[in-house]
Amino acid sequence: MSTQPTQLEGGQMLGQVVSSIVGGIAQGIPYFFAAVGLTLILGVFGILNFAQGAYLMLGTYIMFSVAGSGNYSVFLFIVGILVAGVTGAVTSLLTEVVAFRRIYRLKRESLQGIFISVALLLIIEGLVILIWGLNPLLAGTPAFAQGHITVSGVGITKYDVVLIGVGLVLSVLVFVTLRKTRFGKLIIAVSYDRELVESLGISTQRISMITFCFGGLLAGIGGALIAPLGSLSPDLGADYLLFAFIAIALGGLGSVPGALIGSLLIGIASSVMAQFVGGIAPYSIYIVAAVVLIARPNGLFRQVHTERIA
Amino acid sequence: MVDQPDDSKHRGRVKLRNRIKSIESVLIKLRVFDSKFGKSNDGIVKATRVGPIRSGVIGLVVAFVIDLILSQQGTVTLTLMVAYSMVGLGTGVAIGWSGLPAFGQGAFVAIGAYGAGIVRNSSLNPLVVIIVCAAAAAAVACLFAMLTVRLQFITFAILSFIFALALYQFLYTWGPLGAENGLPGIVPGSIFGISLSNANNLLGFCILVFSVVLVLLRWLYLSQSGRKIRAVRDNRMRAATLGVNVPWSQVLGYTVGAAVCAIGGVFYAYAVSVADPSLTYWTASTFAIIMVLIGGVTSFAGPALGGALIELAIIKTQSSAFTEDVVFGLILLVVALIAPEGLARLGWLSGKYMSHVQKPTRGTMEEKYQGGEPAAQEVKR
Repeated sequence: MSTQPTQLEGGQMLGQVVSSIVGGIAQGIPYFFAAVGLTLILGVFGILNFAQGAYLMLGTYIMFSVAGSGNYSVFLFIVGILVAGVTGAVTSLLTEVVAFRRIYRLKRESLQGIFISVALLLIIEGLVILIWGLNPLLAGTPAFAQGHITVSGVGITKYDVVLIGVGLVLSVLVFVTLRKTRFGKLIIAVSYDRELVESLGISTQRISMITFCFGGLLAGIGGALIAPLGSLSPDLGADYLLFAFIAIALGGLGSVPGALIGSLLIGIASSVMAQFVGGIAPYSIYIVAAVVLIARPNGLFRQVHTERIA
Repeated sequence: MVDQPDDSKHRGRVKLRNRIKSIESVLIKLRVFDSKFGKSNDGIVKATRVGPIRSGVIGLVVAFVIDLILSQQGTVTLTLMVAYSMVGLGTGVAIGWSGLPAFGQGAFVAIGAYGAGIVRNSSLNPLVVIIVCAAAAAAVACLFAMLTVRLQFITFAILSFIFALALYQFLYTWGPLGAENGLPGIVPGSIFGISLSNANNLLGFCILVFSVVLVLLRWLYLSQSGRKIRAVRDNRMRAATLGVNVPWSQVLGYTVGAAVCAIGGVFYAYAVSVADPSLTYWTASTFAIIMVLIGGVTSFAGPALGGALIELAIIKTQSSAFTEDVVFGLILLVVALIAPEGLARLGWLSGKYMSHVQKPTRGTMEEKYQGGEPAAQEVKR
């Protein structure tokens, strides 16, 4: 009789842990979408693209405009994701054509690239304020993903399941694209030696454009997916950018698999700490990131820094 | 008889030319021009005449300042301009002198402002507040830099960004520091019996501190340590080979920059009577970068001018968030694309810079530089 409550508490505890881990994985998926473009562009061009946060933030507002504020259908949800992705890709392409194209020939990791990307983040944020205003907006969850499901006594929100499903499919697509397609192999080749690729008669200009499009597309989709999670504001871009930075730094700068693992780790750590630690949870992730980066500057999974990206 | 009108015309031209030259020499003495237009004796093209543009810029600034002095809020605005000149200077030390991608200078401005806010009820001498806040920011920056300057360029940029945003989230949520509302009611105390609650006195004190900071920084700039900091920026490998302690030089540059930013933050808090978390938001750090870019990345005093101009522009336009973001984003984009070294390094704005640029001339190298004479003249010049 006396062991029954303890068993119940233990079961509840386990349920909470599993629930927060699943929530953390769902939380980490959008970080990954923001981080892919960031790490690809960093690996290929040596540019730390702050504007990646802007493409993501734009995606959230596009989702809101397409789908409205809650109870929308699956069709609108899918259309919203697609439109947000295309908008992110087009915006990213525009920034490449207008600004980044001019600095590829500079030495890698120059201040100029960072200045330009910060400027673009500011401009896009200003334009979003012009179109949608400063007041926070609520996109709401699609009708089919509202409420919870219970698996073996563990409650999981339906939208988390949707996020994990979409994230899984798109992550597989990203890895297949980078490892198996000609485009992916060319990106890796450019990251190793841009001039050698050019000397083989391949247009690196076109590869640059496609890389930026790819990064913008994923950031836009990531933005659309986070829209139902809370209120939308122009600050979202910088907030998610911060976590994307931590993710790519943890996973190793320039590595896509590293970005995925880093994103999931951050998501899970934030979710578990918010559930069990409380007070210091919002800052703990920064402390952990700082400690890891100082102890292992090349990320958790790298011995030596290389420019391999996939 | 036939040549008489031509002679008088010629005399008139000579007279006019002499008058222009005399005006030009006065302007050179006033440092509006850098040097005379034309070629020097050694055949190397000297400075282009940049007077009209520079005069225009100076005229505009003077007009703005007069307008400010005459307006009601002028004193507060001028204090803010001087405060942000210090923020520009501090960011210039971190980015321009040290070459570090410091994207979180707003954090040190916030440390200064919150420091002034924390002791707002203690009637401490403002000089003590300034020294303590500068020391606190320097200690934080020193610790941060000691842990991070050895990391990759990009990792340092990421960590400085993370540091400022983490501090923003902390200040935005932590109740004892006023959370999102910050610390209001910051009033400076008295110094040597002079109350700084009076806006004019505060402005005078601010200018005095700014002058002292400028003199100290100039001393550091020209000292051996300052030269080492800049040598590391220009070429780490070469500096290390010459025996310079590379990480220590960078730590020193970053620490000094943070202390100067914190002093700017204290005066900001005194001028507007509030310290709020937005000081350490990423946009505030971006504005600090724009100040440096406008003033010239590697320039000594340029970022101070950039800081004053940007702050003036922000106050004068009283813009919405949209205008502020888009306008300053465009400024940063254009300057980063056309003049990554900063506007002050553009030929048309800086005569000094142009005077070092040799125009390509025709002929072989042997014809131009026989026996190394021009090089010797160049050094002498």
